[in-house]
Amino acid sequence: MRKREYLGQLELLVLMAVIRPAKDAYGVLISREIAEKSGREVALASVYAALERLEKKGFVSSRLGEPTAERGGRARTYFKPTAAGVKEAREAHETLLRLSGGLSSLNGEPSC
Amino acid sequence: MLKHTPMLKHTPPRFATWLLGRFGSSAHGESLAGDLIEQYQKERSRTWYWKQVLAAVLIARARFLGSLPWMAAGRLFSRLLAETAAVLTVCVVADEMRRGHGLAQAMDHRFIGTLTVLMAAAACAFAASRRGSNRIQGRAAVNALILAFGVIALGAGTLTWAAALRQDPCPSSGCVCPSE
Repeated sequence: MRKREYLGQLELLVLMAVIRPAKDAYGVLISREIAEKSGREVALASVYAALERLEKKGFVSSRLGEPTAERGGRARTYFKPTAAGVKEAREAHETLLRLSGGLSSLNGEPSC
Repeated sequence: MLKHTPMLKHTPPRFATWLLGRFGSSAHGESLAGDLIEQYQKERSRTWYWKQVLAAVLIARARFLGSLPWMAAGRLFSRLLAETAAVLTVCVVADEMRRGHGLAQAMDHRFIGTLTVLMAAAACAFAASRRGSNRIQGRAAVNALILAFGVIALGAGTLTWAAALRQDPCPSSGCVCPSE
């Protein structure tokens, strides 16, 4: 039986940012998505490290694009979620919803 | 990748780019470098570029340190321990034979205890040296058996040795043994 892979917080953020855009996601786009939606500035290297881990776990796949002049002749790597990645993100989302359900302190109400 | 680096509108700090290429390598290192250059062309400052490069270098170094084969070193050490214990076992038996004692005469509690402890140590270290190795992952049950034998033998050996020491007629120096 295959060992269950668990996601860290940054991995989950990155996975959701990869799932979100209609077109293929790449490093800058993913980093910007996380910064806009979470208000958290993440180093591009951290994003790529998380992407590498997600790729190893089989949650995203990548393909190399064409090199462009504005990138100093370097190609973009585009990422897209795999079916397993989407399933994992959905499960993580549902778990968070279940855990946070009924927590009055999260809705700004006093806890006691 | 293009054969030559095209002229950029704003050239990013060369030393930072060199650092990134030299010490910040990863599976998507080229794409990361391209992303940084792309952002630098559009809107980002030199400080931002430097911060990103330093973060990339730190992350790459940390990942490199994390991937060092500590487990392999541990297995090697265990193997060395096992071989040393095995050689000592042979030496103990050979020494008894050299002194002219037959094996039947040598079979007292202390000798059996020493042999058992050495063999158990060899078995434990051998089992430990094989744990986690990719080559023998399918033999977990055999490893567990070797380990169990080692632990039981080590316990039995220690008890035998302790019993032999308690029965020793010469517990301290200066005592004249009746056999001597």
